[in-house]
Amino acid sequence: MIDVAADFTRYPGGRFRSDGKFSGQRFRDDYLVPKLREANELKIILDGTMGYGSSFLEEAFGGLARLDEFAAQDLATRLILETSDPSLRAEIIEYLTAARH
Amino acid sequence: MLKSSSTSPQLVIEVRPDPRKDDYKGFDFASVLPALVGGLIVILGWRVVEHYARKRERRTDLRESLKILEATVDDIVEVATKFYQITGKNPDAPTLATLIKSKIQSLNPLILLISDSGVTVDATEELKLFRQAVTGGNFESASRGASPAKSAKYVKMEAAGQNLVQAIRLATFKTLIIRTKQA
Repeated sequence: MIDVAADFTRYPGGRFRSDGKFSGQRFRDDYLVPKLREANELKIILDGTMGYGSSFLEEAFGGLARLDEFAAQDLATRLILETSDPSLRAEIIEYLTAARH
Repeated sequence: MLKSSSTSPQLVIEVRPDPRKDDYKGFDFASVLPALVGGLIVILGWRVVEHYARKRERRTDLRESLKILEATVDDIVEVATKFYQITGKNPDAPTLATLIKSKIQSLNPLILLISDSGVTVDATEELKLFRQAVTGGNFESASRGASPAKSAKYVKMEAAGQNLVQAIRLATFKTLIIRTKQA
């Protein structure tokens, strides 16, 4: 499980590492990828932060699906997204599925 | 009294009123009926007034929530316009970016609040598109340059914001019209 606010930061932002300490690239490479290597399912708690930018989400989740390491079609089911905002879930699913093609 | 005449003996039965009857005071429904009817009318009237007062209150709350949502969307577009007019290296950029993200995040609880008022709102797609229009691409990138005043970026943000507001406004009015028809 990854609680973004508790385990990563309350202020996620930026696409690449060069954009800041808590970028989508860093979240993907240092948190999502190692956890997905360990477990088949990964719960991600998205609530509790000060908000997400689409650039962060696209790089973290779209970038994850673009990696050759994981079957892109499985990611939408392997990642269990916990959020009170349905639009956030919809956006992440969009990035996971769009990156397949 | 028996008489020894040709006539047959007669039994005389004298009916006297029951002396207890004067003391008996039973429930006189007729005398309390006007008071009962009056009381019932008062209670019913009170219930009707209360019902309509609550309805008006709900409608006011709903309109107020809608106004807050519209003002928040306008505010986001305004702050985002300022944000894109400066470069990613500008020291104000991180603060504005955080402000934009937290304001966008506050929209979902507002939509939920409107939904709690009985309005069937599904603005998932519109909210997602608005977030993407404002915070997509090179948002928060240090290498981002300032967007010119006539950039299509501003039009896209404004349009996505209006699309979100319109979706919620339509859902709200639809509910209010249905409620009026049912009343």
